[in-house]
Amino acid sequence: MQINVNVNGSSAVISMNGRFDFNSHREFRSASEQATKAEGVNDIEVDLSAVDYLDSSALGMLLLLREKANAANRKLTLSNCKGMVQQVLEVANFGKLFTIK
Amino acid sequence: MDKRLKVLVVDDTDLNLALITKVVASEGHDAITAKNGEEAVAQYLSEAPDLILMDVMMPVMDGYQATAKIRELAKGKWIPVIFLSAKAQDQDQVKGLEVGGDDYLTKPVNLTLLKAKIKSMQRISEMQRVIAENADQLARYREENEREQRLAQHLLAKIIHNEAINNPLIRHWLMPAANFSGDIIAVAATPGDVLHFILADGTGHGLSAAINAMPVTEVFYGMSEKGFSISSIAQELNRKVKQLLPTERFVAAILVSVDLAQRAIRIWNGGAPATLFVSAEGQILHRWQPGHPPLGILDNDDFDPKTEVFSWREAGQLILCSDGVAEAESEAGEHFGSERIVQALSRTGFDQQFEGLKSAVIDFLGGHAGLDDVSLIGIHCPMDFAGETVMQEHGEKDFDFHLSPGRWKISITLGASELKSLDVLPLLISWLGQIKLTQKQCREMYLIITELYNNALDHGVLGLDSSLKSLEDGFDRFLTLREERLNNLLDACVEIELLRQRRNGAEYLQLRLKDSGNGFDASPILSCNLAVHNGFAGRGVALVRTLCEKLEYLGNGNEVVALYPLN
Repeated sequence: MQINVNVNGSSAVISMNGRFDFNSHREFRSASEQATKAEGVNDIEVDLSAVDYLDSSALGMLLLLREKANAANRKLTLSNCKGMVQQVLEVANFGKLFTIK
Repeated sequence: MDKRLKVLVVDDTDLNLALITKVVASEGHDAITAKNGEEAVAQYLSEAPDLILMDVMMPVMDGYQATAKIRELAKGKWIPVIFLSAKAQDQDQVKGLEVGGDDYLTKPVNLTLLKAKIKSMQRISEMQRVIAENADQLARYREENEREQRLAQHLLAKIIHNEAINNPLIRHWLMPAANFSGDIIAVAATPGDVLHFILADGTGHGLSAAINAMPVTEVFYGMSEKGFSISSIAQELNRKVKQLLPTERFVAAILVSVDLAQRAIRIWNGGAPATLFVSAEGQILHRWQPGHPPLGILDNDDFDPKTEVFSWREAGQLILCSDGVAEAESEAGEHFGSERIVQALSRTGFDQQFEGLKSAVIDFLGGHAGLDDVSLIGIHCPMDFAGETVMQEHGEKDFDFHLSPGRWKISITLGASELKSLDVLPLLISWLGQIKLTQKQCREMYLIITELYNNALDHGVLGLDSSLKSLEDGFDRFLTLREERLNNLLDACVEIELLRQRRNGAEYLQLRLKDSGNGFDASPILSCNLAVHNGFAGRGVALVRTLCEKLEYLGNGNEVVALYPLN
């Protein structure tokens, strides 16, 4: 799993690939901090297009990011969810907690 | 600064001993001496040196033998040994290393080289010490962890063990991924004999997951026992999990109530996979999709306790799975998936369906434990259950019931907003629990209050027609309409009064209920015969009538008084 943060003007995109699970904890936390602390960012997008597995720990990490983004008054979007990632998010009804596109 | 070492110098000539000892001392270490192999072994045992400088050719016992002996005695603890020998052949050096020496210097000893070797051994020795310490610590952690896991497993087994799960209608299977499971299966029966189930799956696996799910069972059992609805239980669980666990932890859960007498299933599903109702022939008759996020995420104000209801019109089996079933991964990295679940269930016979799904998952995993906990519950929902359990005597000892001289009365009046939001019945039941009724009396009063209160609310206040229930799909329509009208309720009230009284020397509990509705003609209901009455409508009231000494409707039917004998 590799996590990148790309800040472009008022938006920050966190993108990753492979399995998003407990082992990504440290990287994701630092990516979250980078995205929520970057100057002038209003929108944070988590790009899940290259993620092929997501477990409940990953959902927990997304909830943490949501909390941080709310506290920093930044809009959070999960994008490009497909296949198993989409299924897991649907079962957890994360559509009620996040903007998913 | 480097640690001061205790160095054992072994040589049979005094001159050499004196020379090497001096070098050792000049490097800031302490030297102890031995004049042959046997003495060296004795010194090793009594002094526990950090390094040994060993001559080879000595009387009594030579350096090779002494080293081999010391290695044997050290039992895994490493002590560096450097041979100092006049034997300069390659094979001598090889033999020295073979018997357990770590280095080999030829005599006459190059003192600069010796000092460097002592330094190098000191570094290696320090590294060895750290590694040994870490390994030791790791072993202790591991042991401690295993002990804690065993304790937690024991606790969890105690918490989950409940007699209700031995019900012949229920099948369950749980296969933990790690040492033990974060999935929890619990079953309870309410005072009204509705079965409650929970299948909870905490974030992660093993110990930490089980800890997440633990607070759930306590609330679940406690509230079910008092007769709270699964909506109320879900709400309370959400509050509790949210309060106890950090943001990134939550509990996916399915809460189910199965009312065998009414043939109704209510489900609240927060983040767990779809629940299925399967006919005896293996047809999927109903599917509940997860309707809510898992427990412990939303604030209580945003929490939605809405359940989805289904009433069965032919016998079937309700199947609950944790996500470990669909996500079970084969050796080829493929997932079991929801289609394989449906396929495995498409057999005839409830046992065949349940066992079929179970063995399909086991086969798919190829004999390995899954990456996630795998849990499965099957609940057989028959057509011919009506009214059997409700009246059963449960065999507990009735404790002595002495008449207290006190007479009392409680009355409450509920307005529209309380009727919408309050789970009223458990409150009344918990009151009854306080006044020393026997278990049997409690159950019967629960039934009476439940029936009459639901009548007052459904027919009196909401103006719903019971005959709707006997139509095809009528029960679902009835419940939908009920919810709609309850939501739109603006101005209404129900008065409830419980009175303890004595009449002609006998003790009674009198229940009076009055609603703000238009009332109805109760005579057909009161005269109907329980034994021949098969529809839903009115059966409850007929049942109540058999339990009470007197049941009468007053006014235009919007007030009812039930007299329940206590002795």
